[in-house]
This record gives sequence, C-alpha cells and structure tokens, in this order.
Amino acid sequence: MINLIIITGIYFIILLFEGPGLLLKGHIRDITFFSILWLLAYTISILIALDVPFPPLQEGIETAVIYVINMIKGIILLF
Amino acid sequence: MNLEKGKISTLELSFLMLGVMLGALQVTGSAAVLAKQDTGLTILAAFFEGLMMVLIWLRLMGKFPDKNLVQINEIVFGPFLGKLITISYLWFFFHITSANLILISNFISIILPETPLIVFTIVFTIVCASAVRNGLEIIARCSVVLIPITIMVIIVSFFLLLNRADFSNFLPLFQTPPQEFFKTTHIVSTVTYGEVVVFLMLIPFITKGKGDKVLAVRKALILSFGLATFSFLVVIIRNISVLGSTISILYRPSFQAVRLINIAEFLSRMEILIVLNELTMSFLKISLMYYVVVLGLAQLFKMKSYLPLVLPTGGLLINISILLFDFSLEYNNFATEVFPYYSLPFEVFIPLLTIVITKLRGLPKEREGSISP
Repeated sequence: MINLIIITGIYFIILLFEGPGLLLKGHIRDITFFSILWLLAYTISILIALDVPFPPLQEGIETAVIYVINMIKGIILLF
Repeated sequence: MNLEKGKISTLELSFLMLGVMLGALQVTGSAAVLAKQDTGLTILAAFFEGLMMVLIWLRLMGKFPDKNLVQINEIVFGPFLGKLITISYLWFFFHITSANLILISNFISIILPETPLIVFTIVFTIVCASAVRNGLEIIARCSVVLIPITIMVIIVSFFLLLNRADFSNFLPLFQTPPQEFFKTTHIVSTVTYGEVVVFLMLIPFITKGKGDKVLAVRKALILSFGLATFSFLVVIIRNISVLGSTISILYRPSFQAVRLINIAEFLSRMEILIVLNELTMSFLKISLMYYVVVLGLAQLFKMKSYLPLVLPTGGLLINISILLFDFSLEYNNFATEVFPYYSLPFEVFIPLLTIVITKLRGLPKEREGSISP
C-alpha cells in the first residue's frame, strides 16, 4: 500500500510540474501525448507495485532473435 | 527543426560518442571471458569492424547532411514505413537506455547493499532527466568535462598497478579458436562501436565550422573511435596483466583489479575511481540515449517541444528497466549471445537498405552540398 502511495505521489508531482505549463501554452498535441505517456508509465508502475506478472520482455526478445537466427541458418543449410 | 535549438561542435560530438562507447566498458570484461589473452586483439579487430559501420553511416549522412534519422526514414521509406522504422529505432535506443540503467543500478547496489535497487534507478533517472531537459548542449559540455577525467583515471590506474602486473599472463597468444575470436570481435564491435549509430539522430545539431560537414564528422568519429580503442586496450592490458586467467570468472574485472592498488600502504582502496568512471560514463550514455528517444518521439508525434515527454519517458524507463533483468549476469548473457544479432539490423542492415533505396529512388531530389564520404 505504501508503494502505491509513493508511486502516485511521484506521478502527481510530474503532473503538477508539467501540467500547468502545458495547459498555458495550449498545444493540443503536446498535451495529448504527454497524457498518454504519463498514463502508460503510471499504469505500468502501479501494476509492478501490485506484483502483477508481466510477460517476460527480455526473454521474449531473446527468443525472437534466436528464432530468427535459427531460421536464417536453416535457410542457408537448405541451399 | 525547431525542437532543439542547441548546437554542438564536432569536438563535442567526438566526446559524446566517446561517452557512448566508454559507457560499455564492462563489455570488455565479458569479452575477456571468451577471448581471454586474445581480448586485446579482438578489440583491435572490432575497431576495424566499427570503422566499416562508420563508413556506412557517413555515406547515409552524406546523402542527407541536414536531416536526422527520423527525417531520413520518412523521406526514404515514406510516411508509414518510415514511421514504423523510426519506432523500431526508438525502441532500440530505449532498450539500450533501460538496460544500462538497471546495469549501473545493480553495480551501485553491490557497493551499497542495504539500499533498495529502485532508489538508485530513480535517482539516476532524475539526474539524467535533468540533463535531458537542459538539452543537447549541456550533455555535450558534461562529456567534455567527464571524458578526460575518465581516460585519466584509466591511465593512472594502469601505472599504479604496474608493480603487480605480470605480462606473462598474456601468453600463450593466438590460442582462441577462429570462431570464438570472430564472435568476440563481433560482440565488442556491436555493443561498443555499433551503438554510435545514435549520432545519426544528432546530425542537424552539428555545427559545420569551415569546410565540409561530412569530412568534419568523419574526423570526429575516427578520433572518438581511436580514443575509445586506446582506453579499451589500456583497461584490458591492465586487467589481464594483474588478474591473469581469473579475469574470466570475476565479476567486474576492472573493479577487482583496481582494488589491488596498494602503494606503500598509503595509496589504496582506489576502486572508488572505477565506480566514479562507471557512474559518469553511464550518466553520459543514458542521458544521450534518453535525449534521443524523447527527441525522436516528439518528432514522430509532431510536437512543439520535447520537454513534456522527458519525465513520463523517465517513468517508463524505470518501469522497463525493472522488468528487463534481475541480475547483471543476465545482461552479460544478453550482450554476448543475443545483442550482436539483435543490433545488426539497426546498426548495419537498415542504414545499408536506406542507402540502396536512396540510390534507386534518386534521393535526395535537391541535394544541398552533400558529398559522399
């Protein structure tokens, strides 16, 4: 619970730090993409704090790369 | 491009790129596991492989001397495919940044084991975010101050360890099987020299000075490659001559080697200098990559400024770095087994493909003072 409060605090500090300036300048694109990234980062942080299991990102990359290497090796061997 | 008003000189570019390369100093340790006494030779061979990559990047830059990678991709591949390739490049830089972030946090957590890892990650990201918010010029000026200190530390530690050096540790030479030798060469070249591909994102901010921009950048890159290779060689010679064959089983050989400095019971416990080196070089590398990711995203989304994206991207960096690796050794495995292949499309194939398509399509239509390197 304390983790959630700390994370929420940090992300709201970011919002307070950037939000007013963005709203004053009024660039819609800037506000939109800032909001999307902020929401994405906040959601992932909350999920990590709640110990929600994530798909293994690094292993996924490694498996994909090794799969492609093996496929290329197979094609080379074929010819 | 209005997103960044700052300009950097070619000398500052050299220092920045040196920061990117020296940020991967620990990879020389991983290389030593595979090539042992021949690691120095693999570094020299990797230097030449790196120069090949530079030729490709410079040829691409010669075609578009005032455009960065995001703009080049959009011109050459069209709006849709160009954006897709840009996103993949940004992911690549983001991945490198988050991997380096967790790596340096892991390293500090070994020295301060009681403090939770996340504290280092957050603090380091805040420092880097501050540098990124201040812009490219500030990161470049930091590199001009920090790089000479780093190289000085490497040289001084080498001389302070001379009394413990046993140069017979290098014998027998040429014992590494050719396959292992080439594998190690490729690892060193992709992880250290290959990451310099990031300079393609900075092309518009490099001031020309007198003469041709491509030639000036070529000189800057060769200078940085030369200095980086010199630093790697000094580090490897120091580590192997002091640690001998144990280098292949030690975690962070540089740290272990410099621990042994003891001059008349007076100059000792110098390993903090290695921590300082790692911290400063990681700061430069992470800041530059972080800056490039944020700048690229802002360009991709056609934003007025990249500043609003700095802090949320920092949050994402921390999240992804936590999810990537549990231990630094996992990174070593990734750096040696997967990264050399994973990075190839970004460092070699896509730039080559871009050059080929540029030729086929007769791009750029209106060339302004561009020459091939």
